[in-house]
Amino acid sequence: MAVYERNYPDSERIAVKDPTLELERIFLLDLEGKQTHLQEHTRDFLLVIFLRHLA
Amino acid sequence: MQLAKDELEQGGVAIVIVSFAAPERLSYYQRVHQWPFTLLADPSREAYGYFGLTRLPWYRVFSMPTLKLYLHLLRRGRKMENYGRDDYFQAGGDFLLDRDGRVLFSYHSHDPADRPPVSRLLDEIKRARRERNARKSQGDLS
Repeated sequence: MAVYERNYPDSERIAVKDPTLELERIFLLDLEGKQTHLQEHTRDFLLVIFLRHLA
Repeated sequence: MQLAKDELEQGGVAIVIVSFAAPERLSYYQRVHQWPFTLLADPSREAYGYFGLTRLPWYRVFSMPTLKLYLHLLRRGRKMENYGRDDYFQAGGDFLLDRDGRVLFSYHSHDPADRPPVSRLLDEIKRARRERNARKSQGDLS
């Protein structure tokens, strides 16, 4: 499910349909392959950086 | 970004790096680079999709800004490691959230060379903290 509208002209701040994400439902894997979710890693704020390919 | 890590963490900001590489490849990558951040894997790319990060068209991937970026990195002595086959078309992005999951800042990379400068991220974090403190103050007054 894409949360964001994709009709923005550039990569600046974009409009969001639903500005609140359920972080406990965004599952990822740690380096050992164990399932985790973003909520576990959040403090007051969370900066999530999505990489492109590994370089 | 590594230089700003302390400033970010003192300000209550956790940093998570997400890759679509499988955990074993990401683990090897981390052994090589020793990044001081939490690295997480999203091989199914569900999280990428959740944040609206799709694949870039070829003309953005093989563009002049990308070429300039890699030339700049090579000139600075960066070695190009081989981490196995990869998808060069996957878009990246940067997102600042609060603990309730509210999206405070989002940045979808236009091409592989397009990332927000760290100074921009720090400014957005300061802004978010100011707004949160203002909300708290209003709550205290009401």
